[in-house]
Amino acid sequence: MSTTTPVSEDAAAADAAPLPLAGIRVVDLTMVWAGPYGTKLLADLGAEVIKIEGPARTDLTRILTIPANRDFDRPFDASRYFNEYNRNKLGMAVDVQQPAGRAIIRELAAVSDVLIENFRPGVIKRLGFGYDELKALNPRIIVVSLPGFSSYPPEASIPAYGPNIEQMGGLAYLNGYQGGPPHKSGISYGDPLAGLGGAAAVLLALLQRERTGVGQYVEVSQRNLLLGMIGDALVAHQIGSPPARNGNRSPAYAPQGVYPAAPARNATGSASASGSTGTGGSPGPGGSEPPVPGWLAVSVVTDDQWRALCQTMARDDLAADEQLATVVGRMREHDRLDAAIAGWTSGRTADDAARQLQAAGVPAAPVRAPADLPGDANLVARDFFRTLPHPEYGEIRITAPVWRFDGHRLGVRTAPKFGEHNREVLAQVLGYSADTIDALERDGVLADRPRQS
Amino acid sequence: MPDYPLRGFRVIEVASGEAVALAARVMAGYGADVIKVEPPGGDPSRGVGPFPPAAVGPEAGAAWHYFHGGKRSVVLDLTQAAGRQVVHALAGRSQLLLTDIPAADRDAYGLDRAGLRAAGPDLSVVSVTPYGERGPYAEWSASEITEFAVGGQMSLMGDPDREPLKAFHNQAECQASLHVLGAALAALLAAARAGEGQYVEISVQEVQASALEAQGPMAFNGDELPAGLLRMGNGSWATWGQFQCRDGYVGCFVNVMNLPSFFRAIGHPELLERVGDDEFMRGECYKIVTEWCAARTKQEVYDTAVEFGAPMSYVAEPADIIANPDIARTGVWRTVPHPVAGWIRVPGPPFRSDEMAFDLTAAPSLGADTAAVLHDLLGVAAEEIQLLAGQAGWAARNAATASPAAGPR
Repeated sequence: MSTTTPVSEDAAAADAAPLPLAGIRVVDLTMVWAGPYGTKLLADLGAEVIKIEGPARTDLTRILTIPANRDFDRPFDASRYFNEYNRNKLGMAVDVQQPAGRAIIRELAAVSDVLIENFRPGVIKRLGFGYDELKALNPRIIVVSLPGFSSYPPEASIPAYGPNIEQMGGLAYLNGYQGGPPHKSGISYGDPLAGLGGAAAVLLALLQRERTGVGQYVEVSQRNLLLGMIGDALVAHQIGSPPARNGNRSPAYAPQGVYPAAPARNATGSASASGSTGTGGSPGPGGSEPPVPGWLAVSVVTDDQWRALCQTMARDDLAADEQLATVVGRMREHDRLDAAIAGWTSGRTADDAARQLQAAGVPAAPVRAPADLPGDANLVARDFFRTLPHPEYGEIRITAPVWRFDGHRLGVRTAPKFGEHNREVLAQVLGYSADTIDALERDGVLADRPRQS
Repeated sequence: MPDYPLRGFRVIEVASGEAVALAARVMAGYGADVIKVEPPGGDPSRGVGPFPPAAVGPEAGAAWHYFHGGKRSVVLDLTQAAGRQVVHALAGRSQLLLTDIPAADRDAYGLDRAGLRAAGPDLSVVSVTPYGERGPYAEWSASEITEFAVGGQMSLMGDPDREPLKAFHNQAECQASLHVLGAALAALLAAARAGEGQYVEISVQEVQASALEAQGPMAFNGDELPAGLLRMGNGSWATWGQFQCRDGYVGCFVNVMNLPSFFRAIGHPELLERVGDDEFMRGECYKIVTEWCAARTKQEVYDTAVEFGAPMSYVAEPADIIANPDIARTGVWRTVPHPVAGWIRVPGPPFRSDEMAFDLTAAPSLGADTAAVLHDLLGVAAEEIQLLAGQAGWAARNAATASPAAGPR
């Protein structure tokens, strides 16, 4: 594998200029994936994101993805999921069931730019942090809510997870193999969209505030964002050409598909999926697991690319077949072409096949499994994975910020331990005395361990 | 009183993919003046359907109509010096330029960093490409299926016993469009503060890899993924899966805290105490849920979900969505004219706020605004526009004319 110099921002300028969102303070009441993914984007650019959990209200992800075969001093700090999406944030644990805890939230909101939450609709108002109450304290505050559907009944009252919202938002219907039923996404697809929408809403409101001088309340519906992702299908339906479920095929180009490739062997001699090179993922004991085939995604968009594909596969017969010279003909013969391509890809790893096809100008790429990504040559060269110190693991691997600003080397700081920054935030942001903070700890308004952990 | 948050901002779009297109559309809706620079043959999405039956044409396709609502169209041939001069002049009068032109072609189109910085010191740029501007894959050809494959999300989607599955259309680009939008807004904020334009670079592969839920963080650290986190199709658990119903499909996706309401909803509250019994859940319980769903319509399942507060849903089709009064009530729709179909509904504002106005015009005809933009913004006289038109080849040619910027993605 080529080890080129990491491609990253100019480190020399790193500390000279303030980070793009430096000075923006966000009170983050969100949990699980959607909200934290969004506030991650803001924290990655230097916003001061104060994530607030509670002694009896920990982020659900803290109890997930903790490796089972190890002993941790504080297992709730060892969640891989939590550490990835909550890096670069400060962490507090405040009991909002107590008046003193609710007061802390309100006082923080009074000196913050943003409060963002994804409780069920109505909850923050009951707690006393509704927009009307907060704007009286701080007219510049921007409050963003992230409901799955909206705050209007009846849909406000239905618990909704990614797969539910994806169905109601129309994407599941359009997903699926050709000739097959609707299909769910492999991830809770709407969640990162909701987080992205939340971050964008914050930024748009900040821009508007430059002109108006005041904040606002913004509701970001995951379902409505999903509609935006399928807008062309909704247009197609209304103009009399309803969209079809195409699976891996294209309605406009052929051939296109995902084809089986030979398993690859990594440095330890054991098989890994999709043939990525380098040291990443989880090497098993040499040769003890059955080889997992790779997959290659290919699409031929132009007739030139079709000829290049034939040449690469050494299939003069296909190149010479007049019927296949145009996309119409290739669409008719798609099954036959799929078999031909699969016959070729099966004889080589996905990475080798992709390299050969790319050299000929044909769009092709291996299907990367998550475990293959740390070994992907492009991600490695771009320094996309960072290794951070971690109190429970010694070290943990986290992804780099996606929005790469020239002139800034955006750093990654380990996610907060539970309640890690209680004292720091109260003292430095709210000016609480040490005695006051001690009393809050004694009264259980603050915690550094989840209750009954 | 609502106002347009991006009133007064100008955005130049030089791109052919959905990531830039959709981000720019949202910005147009929120009040920015979005100028889409098209090559003489037109943006490639004009040739992508679906089209109305018997009405194929560069103004009528669903892709063009949706992704480019709200924008102005200026035709420029960036392979010509005259065209590049115009785009630089426009850059000097704009706050933002969004592009997905391959890094290797930037110089040739006048979109290199130095050229843009000279043209507009206040201009911020967001650049999005399949693999990033720099790296060993920077010059790889890409398409919607390769983008979805190479960042990790495809491997988790589809049935476990066959090839993995791509999502509808180009979800990798559409996801990336929200990154382009966010990065652009962050750049505008940072530029105002720093007193100079910002340059932001985004890789679609990284967009994908950053959103791998639990599987990513686990696998990146060498943790083995349990079966339930691998590719598992539509789910086949009694409490996590898609089920057939009388008039389509529904979903039951139940987390621990919802189990009581779920079992009440399906009329079997007594089953709650058996959730620890794997064999029962996979067998008899799965059968009970399957039959319960099969006996009901989508609407009946939804009404039950509302009544009991249970996480059940239905697979909505376009017709359901367009007619749904709950969706309409959120104010998400806008109506725009389509040249063949008349007034149609399109998703409008992604955010709901009393302060943020959002409105959309129809997607522009090819080059409809070229003369007005050149005259009003750049003071180019009418005769000169004619001359430039000859030089730059602005006469709308057949859409089949290949333009180097036009690699369909």
